[in-house]
Amino acid sequence: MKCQKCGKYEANTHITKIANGVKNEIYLCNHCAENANHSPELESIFKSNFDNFFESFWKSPNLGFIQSGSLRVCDNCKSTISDIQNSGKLGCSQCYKTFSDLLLRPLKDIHGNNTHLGKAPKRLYADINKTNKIETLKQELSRAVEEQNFEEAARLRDRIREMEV
Amino acid sequence: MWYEKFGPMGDIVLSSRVRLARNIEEIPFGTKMTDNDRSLVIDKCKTALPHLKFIDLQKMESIEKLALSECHLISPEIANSTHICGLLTNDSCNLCVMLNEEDHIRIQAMCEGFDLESCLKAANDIDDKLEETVNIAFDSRFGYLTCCPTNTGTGMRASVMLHLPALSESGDMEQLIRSLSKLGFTVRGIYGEGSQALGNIYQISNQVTLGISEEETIQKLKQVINEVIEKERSVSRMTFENNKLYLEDKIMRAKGLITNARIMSSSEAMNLLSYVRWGINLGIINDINLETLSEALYQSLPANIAKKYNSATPTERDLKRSEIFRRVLVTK
Ligand SMILES: [Zn+2]
Ligand SMILES: [Zn+2]
Repeated sequence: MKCQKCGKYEANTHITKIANGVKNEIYLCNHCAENANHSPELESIFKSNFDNFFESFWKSPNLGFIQSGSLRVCDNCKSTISDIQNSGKLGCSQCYKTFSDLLLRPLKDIHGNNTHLGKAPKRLYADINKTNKIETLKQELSRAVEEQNFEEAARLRDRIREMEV
Repeated sequence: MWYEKFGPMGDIVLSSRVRLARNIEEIPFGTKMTDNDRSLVIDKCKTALPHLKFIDLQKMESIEKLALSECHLISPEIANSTHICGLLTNDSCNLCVMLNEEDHIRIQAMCEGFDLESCLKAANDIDDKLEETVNIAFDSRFGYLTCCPTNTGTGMRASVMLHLPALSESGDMEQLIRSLSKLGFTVRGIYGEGSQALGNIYQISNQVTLGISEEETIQKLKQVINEVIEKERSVSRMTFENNKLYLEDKIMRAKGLITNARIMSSSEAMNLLSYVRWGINLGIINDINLETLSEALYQSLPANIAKKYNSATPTERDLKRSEIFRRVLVTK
């Protein structure tokens, strides 16, 4: 692949940056890598990288484990690894099961986490909806305590207790 | 329209929005869809949300679609789509469900000013209603399954549109963009390309969707936005105190130009409107209010002029634009 900064030369170095649990990678040629440490525009490349992260991730040269899965096909929509590499998109909900092992690492890299927390459809996933709701309330509770908002904290504690019954 | 109104923190925040991306379990995603699948998405959602009005985007003139996307009611992607796609909206158009955008369903709840909580609530209500009859694609590990894996988890993008003239003028914007991106937030100009946003209007939104709840994401974004608002206000005050005459001159010149010119390009207008808005906030301009200004801004966008006045060429639009400003902004 070409250098993501100058776009002219072949990239042969990659730099990783981690900020607040969010990891970003960028691929550079030798020349650009040399100047990378004091280049403000790099930040903006890191930023725009987030959007096409999956593309660059799957196209990066040193990911042997992707090759091992390259013959895998989604039973449901017939997507292959290269389909996904080319479009940066998955073909159906089943793809998340077919390719789950390949998704976990990049998802962790960009979100700092790879397990969902938050809402879940009530009709089909009532129990997940409930556990996640309690987890969310607990986070809100610790913030309320931190902010010394004790009235709110007491209210949240009651709600958690109610839900845990 | 709602987006021209003055809301909470309306001196700086133009509007807030929460978008939820959803897909239907048994229907293939965007890249693998047939026309039949697309019609099925529309039928299922129409049935699930009978209280909303359906608009068939395939039957709409493209200039009308562009006008809607200029006002941020629909995305540019769906405005330019050639596939079967549509919208479900309420009467006041602050609730807009895009069908067959990148994902099957994108629920958007919007409001004037700074109020992300009520947007989240409105979007959640639609989501709850949908899942009563539609099987939403979901996985306990990955959360809501989206076409592009970067959106999976909550599938939520919360964003706020801000007018930041003082931070732009002082050159603090680049630093701000950099530090917010490290915290997992995106800042981008709304109009125009690159880091110099036309009209100094920026959108700040969350990037992280996995491992953090909707409420927590909104709390974090709110915190960040409050800091940005505080910073904009203090830099604005400082600029005014230190360069009073210079700033007054710039603002009054902008007002003079926008209310008198006969030919006005879109980019010049955005730039001048930004100064006028700043001048209103500083109390330098007293005979124009912020709502009138917003009305002028949205009316003067290229596709909106083209749609309303049937103006085909940029020159015709530049003449029309100056007329709009003289009509809307000049008090009789
Ligand atoms: Zn290079
Ligand atoms: Zn699939």
